[in-house]
Amino acid sequence: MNTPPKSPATRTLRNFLIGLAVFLLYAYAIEVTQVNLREPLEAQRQENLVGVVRMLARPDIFEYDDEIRTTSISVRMPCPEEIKGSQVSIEGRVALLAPNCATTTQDVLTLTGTGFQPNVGGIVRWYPPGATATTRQLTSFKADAQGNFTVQFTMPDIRPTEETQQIEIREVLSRQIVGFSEASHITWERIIETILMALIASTLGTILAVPISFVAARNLMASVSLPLAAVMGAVVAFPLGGWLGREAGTWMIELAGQLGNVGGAVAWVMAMAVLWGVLRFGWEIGGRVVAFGRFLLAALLFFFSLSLLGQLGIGFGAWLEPRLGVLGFLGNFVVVLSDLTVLTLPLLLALVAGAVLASFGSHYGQEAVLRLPETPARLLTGTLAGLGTAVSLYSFGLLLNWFYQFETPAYWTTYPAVVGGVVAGIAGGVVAAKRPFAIGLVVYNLSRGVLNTLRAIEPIIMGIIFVVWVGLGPFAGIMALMLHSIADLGKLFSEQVENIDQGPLEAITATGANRLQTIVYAVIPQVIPPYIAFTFYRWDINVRMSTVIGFVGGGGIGFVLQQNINLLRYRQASVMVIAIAVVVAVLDYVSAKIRSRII
Amino acid sequence: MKEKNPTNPLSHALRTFLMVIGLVVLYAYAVQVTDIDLQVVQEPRRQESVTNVLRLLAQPDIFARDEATSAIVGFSETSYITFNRMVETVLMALMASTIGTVLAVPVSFLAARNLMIQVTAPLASIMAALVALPIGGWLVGQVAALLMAYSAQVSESVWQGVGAMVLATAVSWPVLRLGPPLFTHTERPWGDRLVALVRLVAGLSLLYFALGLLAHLGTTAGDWLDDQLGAFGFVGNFVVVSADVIRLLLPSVMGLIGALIAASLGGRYGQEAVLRLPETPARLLTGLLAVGGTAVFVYGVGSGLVWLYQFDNPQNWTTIPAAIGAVVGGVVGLMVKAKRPFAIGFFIYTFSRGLLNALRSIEPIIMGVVFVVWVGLGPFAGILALTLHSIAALGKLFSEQVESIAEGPVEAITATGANRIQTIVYAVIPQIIPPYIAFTVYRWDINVRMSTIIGFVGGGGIGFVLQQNINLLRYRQASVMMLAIAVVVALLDYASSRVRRRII
Repeated sequence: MNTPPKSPATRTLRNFLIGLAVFLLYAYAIEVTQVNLREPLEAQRQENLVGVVRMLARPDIFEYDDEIRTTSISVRMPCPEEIKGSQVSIEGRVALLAPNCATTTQDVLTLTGTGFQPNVGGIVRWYPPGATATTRQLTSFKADAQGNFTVQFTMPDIRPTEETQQIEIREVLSRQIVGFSEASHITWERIIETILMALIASTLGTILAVPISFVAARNLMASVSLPLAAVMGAVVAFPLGGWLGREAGTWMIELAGQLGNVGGAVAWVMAMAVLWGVLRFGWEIGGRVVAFGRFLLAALLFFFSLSLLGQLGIGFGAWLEPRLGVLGFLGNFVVVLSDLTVLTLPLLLALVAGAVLASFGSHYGQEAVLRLPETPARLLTGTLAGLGTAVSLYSFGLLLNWFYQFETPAYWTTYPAVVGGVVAGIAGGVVAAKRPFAIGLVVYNLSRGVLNTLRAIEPIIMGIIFVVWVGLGPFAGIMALMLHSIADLGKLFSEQVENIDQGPLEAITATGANRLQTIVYAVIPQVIPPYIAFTFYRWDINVRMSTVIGFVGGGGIGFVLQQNINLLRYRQASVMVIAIAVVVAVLDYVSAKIRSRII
Repeated sequence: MKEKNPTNPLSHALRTFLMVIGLVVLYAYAVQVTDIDLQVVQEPRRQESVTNVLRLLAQPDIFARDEATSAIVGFSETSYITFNRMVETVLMALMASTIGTVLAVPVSFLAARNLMIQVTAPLASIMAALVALPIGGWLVGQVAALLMAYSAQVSESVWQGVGAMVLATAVSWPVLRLGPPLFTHTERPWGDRLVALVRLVAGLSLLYFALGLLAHLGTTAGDWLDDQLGAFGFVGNFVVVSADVIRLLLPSVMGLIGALIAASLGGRYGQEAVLRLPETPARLLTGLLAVGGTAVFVYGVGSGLVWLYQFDNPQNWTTIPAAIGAVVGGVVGLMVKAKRPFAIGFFIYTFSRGLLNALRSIEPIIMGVVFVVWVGLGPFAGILALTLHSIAALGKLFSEQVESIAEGPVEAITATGANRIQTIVYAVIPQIIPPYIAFTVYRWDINVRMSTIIGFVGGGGIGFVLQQNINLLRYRQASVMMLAIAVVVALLDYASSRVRRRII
């Protein structure tokens, strides 16, 4: 970039202005972000920090078996008329409490012990009258080499009572590690949960991101262009197919549910047999209609057997779960998979039927327009454009209505659909019928835009919404991570598709392969290694993210970590932070290794 | 991938079958552990609540409306808060990225394998550096603290302070510049060297004293400016904060610099002495230095542990191990060949890489928790957390860049007889500036994302108010903030990828 040489004065002025602007920016940034060096150096704050750091340095990893000896001494709160001290003497140990009462929480009590075990440490606890479980730790002590100690403490904020209360001196005579602490067990469970959350989110995210990545790849989509009639034919046919598919799916699920276990199993066997027969025989019978009928029958049978499997699986899994003992989770897995099938089958069928009808619509729309002479083709294009625009405006209006619940829905659905339909009909009649429209670019831009927007929202924010939906717990975290993974992987994957070598693509296209075949034989073999590498990379990121998504209730170790921090249980929190660091570092290393082997 | 020996089809099938079983069991277990339950998703009450939230989110509270006519009369309060917080968020990320980059650059050289692997020194040199390190640090730190305290006293009256500052600067000039040059490449008698050293120390102390005076005067001037400048009061605040940095941090930084200089001098003279002496006295010297060095090192580590864990008998952790270590160190020092080089650079490399990796694996939001305890709720805690994470992440990325530089220029510069610093300045730095800038911009982008959520633990920025709104179920207000986050992050993502593409 050669710019004409500037005079030294303008250069200096420019540099000066840039310098001034940078100075002002940082000055303003410091003001806004409240950078203040005095606060961190305040004695109180430093003390807080030192306390936290010291606790973090002692992670609560092990469980100890303490040999404890207790010595009790009585105390009163509030003080009676006469204030005096108490003394207790047991087996050579003497504990002296003076004064032996407190009226306010500011009154300082002094506990002096003599004759205790040398160098012994321990705590002083308060016990209320009666057998309640609410005890409080007052202070800790440490005896000197002669077994003497003196500690001062104040009483906790308790309900004053006339009765005598007890203070217990608990000496820890010896301690032995007997196993892992509760914090360690919790950490172990939660870190497994965290890793598995990330695993499921990455797996589902990858599966869903793959088809999206093809739609968001510029080099594949830029070449997709169709006459307007084909585009509009697809737009008209899609909702029709979707509606049909959903109805069929719902009906199949209901029917499969009514058949019961035995009937369902019999029906499934029969359906599979017929499906096999349809696929195996009858290829020699010609004719488009017969072929279409066979295709339809096979598809219906396939989805019906799937819905039968789903309905059977729910019962089977529930039956399996108590019988498998430790492996009961396999039964649960069957239940969840079956649930997923039953839940998504109508949607899936709607999508498939919509896509098939849309493809028919576009295919026949294109053929019709290309075969017809210009004027009827224009008429057809106009009609289809009117219908297609009306359909899309109407559904968009329905969506807006669902969101905003307008008082008169017709303003947002029927009216714009009619107006838009008429306008688009006229416009469709005017344009050259055979002119191709770059519908692929529209789809590409739309999907890239959606992916970029979704990617910009941190999963922890998405987590908030999913917590509202599916409740607190790891499932909400999985949904949030999955959504973010789809967006992120969708973009990364589609960039990989854009970077592929064009040679194989051209070679396959030259053989007369259609678009689907081109993708299967020229694109997919090239993108598999980077896809796998990115999936591992994403798993790595998801593990990091799932350690913090618990902060908003999304399950995983972050949830218990935050609880511990809020309760100032830093020693327990320390175990979790260490576990996170170790797991993330290990996964980082493993993922880097795998990626360097694959690419 | 190497071709493996052909396996028979049966074992192949068995392996595949076992892998599939393993995967099924893994996912089945994962589904169980993570409580995936699709029934919950369909519950009408849950669907209703999520519908409500989505509907509220779809109506962001962006505009203020007139109550009677419901005409838009301007932006809502939420929008103003969002704008302010968004600016705060972006600036938090800017500060963290800037400070993080500045501190990550020196770290990245220490963590670069190709630079550090060549650094070797005889044991005596390393041990001399270890002995000299605390002495230098303590001496310089004490002097620096004293001078800073004295400058505080002097600058209590403004005019006296200004006068002293001008005087100190004026005197330092002849001390440093007049007379024979301070640094030469030729050998000089020890007397001349000593004079030069005294002049250097005196001149630098005077300059440092002047800087201290400037800082104390700056605090006063900044406060005054803050009041006087009105809308530009933040310039005054900037002066105050900069003065605070000098006042509060410079003595420690000087101590650190003093420690490093002392260590480098110790290392150099230790090496020279060992290389010039014959083997037996060299071994004796090495042994002696090893005694001191090991003792200092063990004692230092022990003191750190005692501070952290407050042991009952500190001497069990400091004096006693130091004494044992000294004996062992001395014996080892006597046994090894005095002139044998030790790969101290490789040790530093491994250590710093390990530290960076450990720090990098802790999410900034978790670091934020600790910093909130230290500096209180607010954006400053967020900045510190993001800075620490940025240092670790950038340190690693930067050092990988240093490792992948072209060796040609390095060899060419080394061949001219340049020392290590000159090699870095003339051969390494010119090669790494573009990727460093690119990574810094990339890091800013990441830091903006992170700073939008670090408020969830009290670290300031928009996350703080976003969480408040969500907790109060004010989803329409939260929606404005989410939109703002999405827009800003998408914009910065775009801008950062543009900048990076232009630079690399």
